[in-house]
Order: sequence, then structure tokens, then C-alpha cells
Amino acid sequence: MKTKNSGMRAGWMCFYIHFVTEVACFFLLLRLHGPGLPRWTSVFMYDALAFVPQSMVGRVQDRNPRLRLDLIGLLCITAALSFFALDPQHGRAIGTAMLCLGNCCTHISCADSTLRAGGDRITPAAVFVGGGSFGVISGKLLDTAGCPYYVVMLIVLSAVPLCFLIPEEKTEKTGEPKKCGRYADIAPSVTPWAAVIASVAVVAFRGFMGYGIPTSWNKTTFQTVMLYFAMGSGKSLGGSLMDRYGTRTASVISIAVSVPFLLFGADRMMLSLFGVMLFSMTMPITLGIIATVLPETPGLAFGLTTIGLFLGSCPLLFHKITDRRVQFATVLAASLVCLVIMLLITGKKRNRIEKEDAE
Amino acid sequence: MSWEELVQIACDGPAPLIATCVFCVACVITTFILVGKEIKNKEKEE
Repeated sequence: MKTKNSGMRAGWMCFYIHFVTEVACFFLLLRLHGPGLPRWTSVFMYDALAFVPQSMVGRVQDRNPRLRLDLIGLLCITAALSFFALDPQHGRAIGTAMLCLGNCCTHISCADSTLRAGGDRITPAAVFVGGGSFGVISGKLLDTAGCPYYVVMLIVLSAVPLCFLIPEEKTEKTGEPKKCGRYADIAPSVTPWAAVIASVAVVAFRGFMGYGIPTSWNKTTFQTVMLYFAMGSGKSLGGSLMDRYGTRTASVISIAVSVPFLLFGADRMMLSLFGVMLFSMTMPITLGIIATVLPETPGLAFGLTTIGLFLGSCPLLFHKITDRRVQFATVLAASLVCLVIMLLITGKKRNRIEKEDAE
Repeated sequence: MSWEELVQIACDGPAPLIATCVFCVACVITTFILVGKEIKNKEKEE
């Protein structure tokens, strides 16, 4: 029970740290663009430098579990905001590098804390992951509203005290940070390599499909806010669903059930939002599978999911899907592939959590 | 070459894009090598 409480505390604290990170990143995203480059390059470079190196930063965190990367990350992001505020012309390159490094550090540190503190539960990590969507839309809104840099800096710095308050789960004998739990129910016949590659592929397909979801109903700021709200809450709820009903059931609910809502909700906001919420639930499920395979390296495990996300979203930077029939076909085909993969790699639910609660 | 020119080369044109792509490929390859090592270690322990 103690693990459950400290896990959820870590989850909500990391939710806020993730939130402020994304606020700063999406506040600055459109300012990263420089002369002589097409518009898509700034987004591509941000995605590449903020997502892909997370596995490397994760490795550093895994080797040095006591390193407070969340604090380092928040300070890097504050420094990036300062560079942009003081000299946007010359500070752009170094500011972008600091922003991406800060993004990597906070994500990895929060993933490490929530995965270790969760026991055999993925819910704390799912709560942390959900914070990003709320941050993305808040950052975009602050940018549109012309918010001054110092306000965003204060928002980022408000998360600093949490870095010292996140509960750390240590083993009783050595005092070392705990290993990750067994979050997912992987089929016994599936090799670790197959589970990792399949999960990264699901994340990539999901990332690709995410940009192809038809949302012609989305025309106002309020509707965009609702869309991101659905994404964030879906990610957070995915963890609870997986802990309660097992990996296989959660995967089927999130992938198969979401398809009709995504397709028939192209012009209906409520249907589409429900579909997006269900569809977003796959994020913590795939993270749980990879972290189960790599229990001693949660940073590396989280980094793999971000690589998958980058690989999936990359093609859409060059070509946006606008044709309704192509959007429908993309959603159907990607969902089918993800569903088949998840059914192949997941196994029956084990009673791991009930046992932990009884103890 | 002045500092201003250096900054311009670093920020503009295709140089940052090419550098980013090379960095990404290197990161992905290293990640999968690390995953392989980690899986091997886990199998040895078991």
C-alpha cells in the first residue's frame, strides 16, 4: 500500500514537471525557426534533438540513479528561455540545444522516478506521461497570447521544489534505488528482443496514425484544448486500465474500440474525443512492456518509446495527410497492425497487483 | 572567420539539418546496441 501511495505521489509530481517542460518547449517551438531554412526543419530538428537522445540520457540516469536530472533539465530549459529572451538572433542555436537537452533530462528523470516508485503498477508513469499533452496546448496558447518570457520562466521554476520532494523507492538491504516492477503481461513464448521491437513498432505506428486522425470538427481554440485534454487524460487512464484489467484487455480496448469512434467522429467532436482518449491509452501500455523487458534500465526503456514516436511522426513532417479516404485507410491499417502485434506479444493477466496489495 | 560568420554557418543553411540527422542515426544505433547488451546481461543472470 505504501508503494501505491508513494508511486502516485511521484506520478502527480512528475505530471507537473512534465507539464511545465512542455509549456516551455511549445512556447518556444515556433521561435526556433531561422532564416534560410524551410519551416518544417525547425520542428524536425526539435523533434529529433528532444526525442531521439532520450535513450542516451536515460542510460546516464540508469548508471547514476542519484543524479537529479529533473533539476538539471528545468535549469537548462530556464537557460534556453533566457537565451531566446536576451538575444533571439544569436541565442537561437544554443537556446535550441539547451531546450532539447532540458526536455530530455526532465522526461528521463520523471520516467525513472515513476517507474521505480510504482512497484508493479504502471499508473504513476502513465499519470506522468499524461501531463505532456496539457503542457503542449498551454504552451501554444501562451505563445499565441504573446506571453512574456519571464512568466514562462517562472512557470518552469515553480516545478523546482518538486525535484526534491519526489519520493525515492530504495531497496532495504543496499539502499540502492529499486528495480522496475513487472508491469506488463508478456506472452512466455515472446523473446525480449521481439517484445522490444514490437513495442517500438506499435509506438511508431501510433505516432504515424495520430497525425492522420480526421478531426475536421476542430476549428476553435476551445476544441483544440478539448482535443489535448482527451489525449492527456487518455494516457493517464491507460495505466489504470492496464493495472486493473491486464495488458491484453487494455490493448484491445484502446486500439480496437477506439477505431469506430475515430472514423465516425471525423465531424462529431464528442465521438472523436472519446476515440482519441481511448487511442492515447496505448502509450503507457507500450512503455510498460518495454520497462518489463528492461527492468534495470528504466531510462533506456523510456528512451526507446520516444525513438518510436519520432520515427512514426517523421514521415508526416514531409507530407501531411489531408484526403479523407487516405485518413480513414491510415487509421484502419495502423490500428489493425497495432492490434495484431499487441495480441501476439501480450499474455494472460497475472494477479501481481492483488498480491502486492494483500502484502 | 569572425564569430558572427561562424554563428551564421551553424544556424543557417543545411548544416544543422545534416548534423541532426547524423546525430539521430548514431543515437538509434547506439540505443539498440545498449538494449542488446542489457538483454544479454538479463539472460545471463537468469
